[in-house]
Amino acid sequence: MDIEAIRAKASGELETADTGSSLLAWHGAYLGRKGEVTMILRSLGEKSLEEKKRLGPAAQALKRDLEAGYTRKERLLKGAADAHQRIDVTMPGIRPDTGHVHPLTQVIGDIRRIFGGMGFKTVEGPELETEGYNFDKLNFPKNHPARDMQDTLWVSAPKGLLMRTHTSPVQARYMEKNLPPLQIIVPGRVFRNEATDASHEANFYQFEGLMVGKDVSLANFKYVIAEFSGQFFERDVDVRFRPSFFPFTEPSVEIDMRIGSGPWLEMMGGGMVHPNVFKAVNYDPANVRGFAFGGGLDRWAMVKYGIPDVRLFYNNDARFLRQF
Amino acid sequence: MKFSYAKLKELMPSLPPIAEVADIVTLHLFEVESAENGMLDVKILPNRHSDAACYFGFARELGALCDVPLALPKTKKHKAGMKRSVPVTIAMPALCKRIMTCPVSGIASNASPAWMQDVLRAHGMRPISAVVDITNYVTLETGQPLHAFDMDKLMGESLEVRQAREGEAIETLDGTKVILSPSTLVISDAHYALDIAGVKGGKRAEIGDTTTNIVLTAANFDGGMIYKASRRVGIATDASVRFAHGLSPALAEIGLYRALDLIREICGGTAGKIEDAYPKPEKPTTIVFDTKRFIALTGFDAKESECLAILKKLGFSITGKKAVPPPERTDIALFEDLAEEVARFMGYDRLEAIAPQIALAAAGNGKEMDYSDKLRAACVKFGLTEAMSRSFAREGEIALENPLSSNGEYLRASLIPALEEALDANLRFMETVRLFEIGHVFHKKATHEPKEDVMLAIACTEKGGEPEEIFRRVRGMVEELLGESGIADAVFKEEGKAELGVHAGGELLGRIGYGAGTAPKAFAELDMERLARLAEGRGQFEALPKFPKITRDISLVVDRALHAGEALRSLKEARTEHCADIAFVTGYEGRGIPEGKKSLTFRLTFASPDRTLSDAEADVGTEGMIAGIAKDFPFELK
Repeated sequence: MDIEAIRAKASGELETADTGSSLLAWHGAYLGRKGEVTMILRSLGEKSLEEKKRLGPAAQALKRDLEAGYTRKERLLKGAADAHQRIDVTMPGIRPDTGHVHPLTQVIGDIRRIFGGMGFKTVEGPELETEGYNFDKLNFPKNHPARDMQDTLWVSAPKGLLMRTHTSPVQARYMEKNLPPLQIIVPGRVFRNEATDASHEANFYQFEGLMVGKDVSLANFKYVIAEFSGQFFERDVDVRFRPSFFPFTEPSVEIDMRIGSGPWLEMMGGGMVHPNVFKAVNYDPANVRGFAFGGGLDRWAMVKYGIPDVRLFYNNDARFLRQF
Repeated sequence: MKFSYAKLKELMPSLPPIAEVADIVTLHLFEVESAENGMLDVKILPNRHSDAACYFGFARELGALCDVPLALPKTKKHKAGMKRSVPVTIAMPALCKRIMTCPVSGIASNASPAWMQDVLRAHGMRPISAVVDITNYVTLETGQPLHAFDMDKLMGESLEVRQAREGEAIETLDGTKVILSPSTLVISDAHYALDIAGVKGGKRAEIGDTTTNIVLTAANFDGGMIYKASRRVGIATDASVRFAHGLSPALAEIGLYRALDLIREICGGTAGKIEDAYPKPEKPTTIVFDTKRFIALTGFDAKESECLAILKKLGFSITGKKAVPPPERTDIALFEDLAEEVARFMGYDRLEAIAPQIALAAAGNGKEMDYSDKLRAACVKFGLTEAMSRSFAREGEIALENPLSSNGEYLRASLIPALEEALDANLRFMETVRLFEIGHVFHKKATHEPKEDVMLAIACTEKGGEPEEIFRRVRGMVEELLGESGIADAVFKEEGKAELGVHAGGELLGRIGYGAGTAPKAFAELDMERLARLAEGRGQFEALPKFPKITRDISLVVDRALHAGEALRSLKEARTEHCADIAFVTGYEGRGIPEGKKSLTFRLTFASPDRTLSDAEADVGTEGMIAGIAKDFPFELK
């Protein structure tokens, strides 16, 4: 009999087999020891080479397909009989083994999304910096205790290179290559020569913001920060400015926040870009104004998620990382 | 700095309660660390040490901010009771802007009054003798460090401020011997250095119990010079910290006169003539207050009269729109400095938030950032968890000058060592650990210039896992990342025994390796910048097949030492027409395979874009490839 004819007949009969015993009979008739397909395969040995080549693969394929059909039908008949006895629907779910994004990356993502919505572009800069970008261009006087505020990690050679103590050097780098108006946000890793404890890390993250234009004011700064913090914490956030000092801003402010009815927390610093910084990047301070700010990203993440110890971010403990 | 509330109240009898003062200071002046036990602890901002790190200056601020009258002690006009003076010269006028001296003879060697001792103790200072206590007390009041020498111990009749000689030794007040160099200044008599200028007094002319004749000095030193000198000799004192912040030369006069008054009052004696070496007196800065500019800069709704009145309250002298800061203030040089004074006085709480008008500019992120986002998402999809390791390492190419600890003397040159440690640490709590990290590493180029690269690393381990399988999984992730980047021509080359190099576009993109330990581990590290460059503009649509494909499995029994990759490469080279894909299926050794051999199974896929291939064509193609690899290595078909 022609192989395709057997296939048609068998498929038709399989369709109508609706009990365990009729299915078993069907299996015997085609795939059993004396089944039709078995017989064809067995007979191949006596055929000519040419016929073997013609029939062999087709017969093999038929056998495979019928076996698969049988298994499928068997499962169907069995399932219909005892599905609700075999599955305990109250068993707990088996969770997929998924990967997780680091909480700091998630916070960086939030920052990029929220500031992106206000037209800020995200830019990055090197972690190994020159003294020029890290201090000089930001109006830090040479040999002044203001440089002491940021205990610097220096590289042995070549001299004058350091691990950036803040993300602010990217302000100068970006302004040197772009003209105002501009608004950027700069997340990145920064370094301090500081003993590590629950609230201090020698390497941590900051995010820096800068907006420069013809008509940018401290009142605009307040608006942007209030908008950002409210969106970030997804709560009512009170924002408070108070006087501070940074070499690269004038006026300078410290920014406190009160989330819900909690205490005032010191969350970032900033102010209006100092004219000397504009001069250092060849802007005319008479024609542009801008605000700049920086915050500790780790601290924002700690406040948002209630994390008590900054070191958790860098210890690579999967039990911690999988919570996010 | 700590201030006694009681002492402030003496200067301003109608000062509000301490809690209220603390709030006002917080919002308009400095951060308040604490306000308890009658002490107000404030963080003086680094640019306000000249004027506000003392009772008089801080009280001037409080008087203005709380709007209460202030009565500072009036200094009497100096009247010399004897002809004697102590002339003084300055050898380095750039580093010592001013020094004043005044001799006082016949002082009583008594202790300071109890009230003064109480104030000193409240500030953590030990009362010593009336003269020394007065100098310390006046520093608290005026912010000017003062120093008194025993006049009878001086050689010669005059003093000099000069560079220390190379190797010049001095014994400080606490008995420490310090060797100096010319970058440090000293106050010297005709022969000897009497102190380390601005840092610490010396033993030689120390005031003692028997001292009756003194020279009182008040100097002004360059902040940067003192900052460096103090670090160099490893001594930081109240005076050195004050000088390092940069003091106004005007303070010398204020401090000296105040101290002379107190010495006369407490120790008696006869004061001589004041000598004042002040080669280049500082000229007052005049800044025009432009109200329009102030409003534009801050957004405050303010009237000119209000702004000028505020500056006046803060001690600026105002003529028309011109403002001249009080002489003690070294922080006012620009219009923006004036603006800050007015703004903080008004209070930032008064400032309304106003939405900025933003110029339309493409927001978005850099290409590199978008690309690293894409690869991060892929890694998470693979079931990897993102790690962030510290940037310091025990080994590397770039050393730190001042490292934090012994396990961080270098900048990391690879992300893998830290991830390997993380795998081991996590195996204590779990069976399977799969991590990735995107971070900066640091290399030294041939030119010794440091180079910073952004790398993506993957690290996986599984207790009781099959080493080859773990390695293949990591390799598969790398292949998938390359696929997502549209890099189809990557070549994997064995490099050494434990490593596979990933090459594309003629560049080394990264490496894949394995490690052992309590559980088998595998790692990969890829250069993101190179990947991003190659990935640019790739990822074109490929038409879906219209016609069915035919597959043929072939099993080759080969020498056990033959690498699967070699057999695969041979097959690829022997690729026949219509062979669309060659894939490794499985490897096997054991029963049914001769000793020293193994079987490698490959699946060949045949397809044509414009017709259905026949079985015969697939067979011919398969045979052709089997014949094609015969020259490469011995095998038998299974």
